[in-house]
Amino acid sequence: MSARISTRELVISPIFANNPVAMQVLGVCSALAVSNSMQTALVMTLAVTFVLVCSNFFISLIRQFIPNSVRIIAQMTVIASLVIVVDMVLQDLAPDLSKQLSVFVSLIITNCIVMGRAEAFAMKEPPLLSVMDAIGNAAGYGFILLSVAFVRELLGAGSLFGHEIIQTVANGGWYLPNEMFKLPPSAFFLIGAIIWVVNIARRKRK
Amino acid sequence: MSKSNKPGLQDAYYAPGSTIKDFFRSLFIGHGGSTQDTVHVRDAIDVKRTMTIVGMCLLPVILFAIYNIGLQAQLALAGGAKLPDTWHQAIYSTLFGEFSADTGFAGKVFYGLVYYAPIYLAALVTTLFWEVVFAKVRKQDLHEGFFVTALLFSLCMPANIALWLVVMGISFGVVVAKELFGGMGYNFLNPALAGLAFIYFAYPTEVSTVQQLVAVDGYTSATTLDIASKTGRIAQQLSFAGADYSWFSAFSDPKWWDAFLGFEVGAVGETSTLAILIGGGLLLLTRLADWRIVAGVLLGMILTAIAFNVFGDAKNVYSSMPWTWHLVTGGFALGMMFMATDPVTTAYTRPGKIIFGLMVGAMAVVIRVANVKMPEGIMLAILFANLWAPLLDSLVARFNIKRRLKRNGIQ
Amino acid sequence: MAFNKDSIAGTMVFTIVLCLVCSFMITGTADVLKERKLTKKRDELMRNVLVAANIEGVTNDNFRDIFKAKVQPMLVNLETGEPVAVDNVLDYDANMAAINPETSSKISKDIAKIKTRANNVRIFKVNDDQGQLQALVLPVYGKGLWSIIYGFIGMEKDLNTVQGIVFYEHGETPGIGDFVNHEEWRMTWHGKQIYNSNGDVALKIVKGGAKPGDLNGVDGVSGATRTGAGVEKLIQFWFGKEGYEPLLEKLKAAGV
Repeated sequence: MSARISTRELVISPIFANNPVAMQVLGVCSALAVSNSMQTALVMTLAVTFVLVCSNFFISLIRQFIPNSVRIIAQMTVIASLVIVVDMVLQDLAPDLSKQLSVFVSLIITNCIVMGRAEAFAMKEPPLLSVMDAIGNAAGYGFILLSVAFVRELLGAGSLFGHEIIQTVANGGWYLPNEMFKLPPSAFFLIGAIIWVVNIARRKRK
Repeated sequence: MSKSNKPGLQDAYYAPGSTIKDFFRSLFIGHGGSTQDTVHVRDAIDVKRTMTIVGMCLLPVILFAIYNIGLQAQLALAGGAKLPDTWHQAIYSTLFGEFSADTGFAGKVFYGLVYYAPIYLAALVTTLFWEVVFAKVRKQDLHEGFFVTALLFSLCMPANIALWLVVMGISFGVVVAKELFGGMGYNFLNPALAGLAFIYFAYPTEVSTVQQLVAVDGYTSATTLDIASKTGRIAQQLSFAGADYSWFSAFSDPKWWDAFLGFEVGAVGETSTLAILIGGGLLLLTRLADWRIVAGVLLGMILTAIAFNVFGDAKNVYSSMPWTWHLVTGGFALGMMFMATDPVTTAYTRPGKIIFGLMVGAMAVVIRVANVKMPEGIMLAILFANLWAPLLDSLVARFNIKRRLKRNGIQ
Repeated sequence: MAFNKDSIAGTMVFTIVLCLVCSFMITGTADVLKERKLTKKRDELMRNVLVAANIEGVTNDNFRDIFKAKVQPMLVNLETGEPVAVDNVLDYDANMAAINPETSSKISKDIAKIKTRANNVRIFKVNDDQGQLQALVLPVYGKGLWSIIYGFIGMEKDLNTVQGIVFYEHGETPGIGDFVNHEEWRMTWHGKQIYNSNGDVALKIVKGGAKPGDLNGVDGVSGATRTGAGVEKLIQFWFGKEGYEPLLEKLKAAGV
């Protein structure tokens, strides 16, 4: 990050052009697991956003003091503490959702996006810029997660956020839910399709 | 492979920017020389001839399938089933009158045709549509591969399938498995099987019931038909109890002969092992299908089946199923002869082909035995082996290099 | 003195400070949420007891009032049956008491596979409007197929007939073993009797369904035989000699 980049660029670029999931293929594990409904995807996005913003902020704040030899461990400590806090809050506010997300909230600790941004950006840049960067990346993650969840829930269950959009055969409608979209591999297809579209769009612009 | 680079007359049809009409003309008019791209780079014949031969080899299967649809419907009618109230029936009765339990041979064939032709046409039109779309976008010529893809796909369908499912399945197969990766010759999966897998996972309730397999309403598995059909789904009723049912006992079992000849309930083109073996045999003779693959699949299946017979859990019907039955149930024969041998998606090296075949055969049996809910093991086995094919080739090549280096004393 | 962050001392200082700050953050959050968690736990306990006692008309809004008005929670010693004084019965940590060697004892005939049980157990007397005993709710738990199943069982005032049962925590196979907290299945317990006329524990989970009129048989659920067996065992344990039998004898003798 030698060249100064504008704050705007910092927030916008990770959403499409440099999307952490689609372009850098980070954090795919959780994207596959929790994207079967909009609700879990949204909560997961919020959790990741919180952790990412806070971790980037704190790490950037103390970046002058972090000894090089314990750099990664220091980052992990900050991230892990934040994740534990998020997990506890989630268990308190929405025990049912927390059960559905099960282990994946705790696994934010190992989400490469969080670690990656901490190491690649927050360690070198001032807090405010780091927060912007975190917001951008979290938005990129959320964009993928929510669009995959949108397709998966709509086609797999005929609903969005649990509300019925297309009446399914089981409820007397005409729509026969596509079972494949309930299985995690379908997220692979969808993420692949998103990567394809983004690539085409980028190539066109060049 | 090398030939004159002088453009032949017909080559003009392949020039970029040609019209739809030219696309179609290119399907029927052969061109001057062999293809130059990678599709059949190891062979001296072109795509058109390949696909025509495969189509011809599938003829016995198709003809028998059409007859068998009518026959099974008739047997089910005799067993108390009713004619469904669908557009199939409307077509049939306006043309030929009421279909009943004693309609003659021609009637049965037409009845089968009324059911099979729409499936094939739907598959064909859909694949053609995608081919044209992608050929136009990529400015490529239209390849004949879609004929066979649609044919193979339609042969794996149950007779009663809804046409929109056919369209969905084949679209997924052609677009995702083939066109997205570059089209003809670049597909890493067999498109027909990828489409089949899509339907199986997406709409399991629509393709996994016995009722779907017979072209009547209210089919309840009648006694003699209860035997292994669409991959032994019904094989649960078969009993191989005790050690006295060995693999050769099948030859004295009339049920096995029914299954072998194809007079049984099953997906359209998968019932008659005999017809498939005839067609497949022709394919082997023309060298379009490599015997190494077929032998590998057969051997892998036999060895795995025997292993399960000996060491398997006797309570699981599939585990005590002798290999003779594995051969005649479900899509195994069709997969072995026509799908595993797809030249694009298999290994190219000879040892690689044998390993590929063994893998398919073994996996097919393992999936059948281990997962009763997923009886179409051969389909998943071939898709799985497809993914391994490039790796196998690379391993074989590396092994060869090592061996030669050693032989020449370099290493 | 310039602070050298990469020196050994600098690294040590940094790590210690970071760890302290992070742990404060976590404990702080936990502390804030603790009170809410306790309230939630208490609420859940109240609801479960009311469900086990089969009290009608319980809603999300009024369960706290009903519980206050009707239920008398108390801690009793299992062997003597005497009440034990404790500050706040509702917040008594029964799970901890059951494994703490000082407050628990080893089980000699461990059919419920729980190894130890607490000496003092929390019971709930449910009174009707006249202050008479209407039901008695007792906690029960034992091993199912995978996990310990925790529940409450409510009995009528004859201390034998089941009013209701509730299992609030388990880790059984989803879709198979989790029938234990299905409403329909729980309702089949109503009216069953735990002891037979000889005073032995006779309640059984009957595979394939109990015969009509069988006072001691509860329908088993096919496919979940071992979860069912676990439930049967835990009932047999808790109503046996090492469980509530002495307490129930005592209560009966006292003529409640």
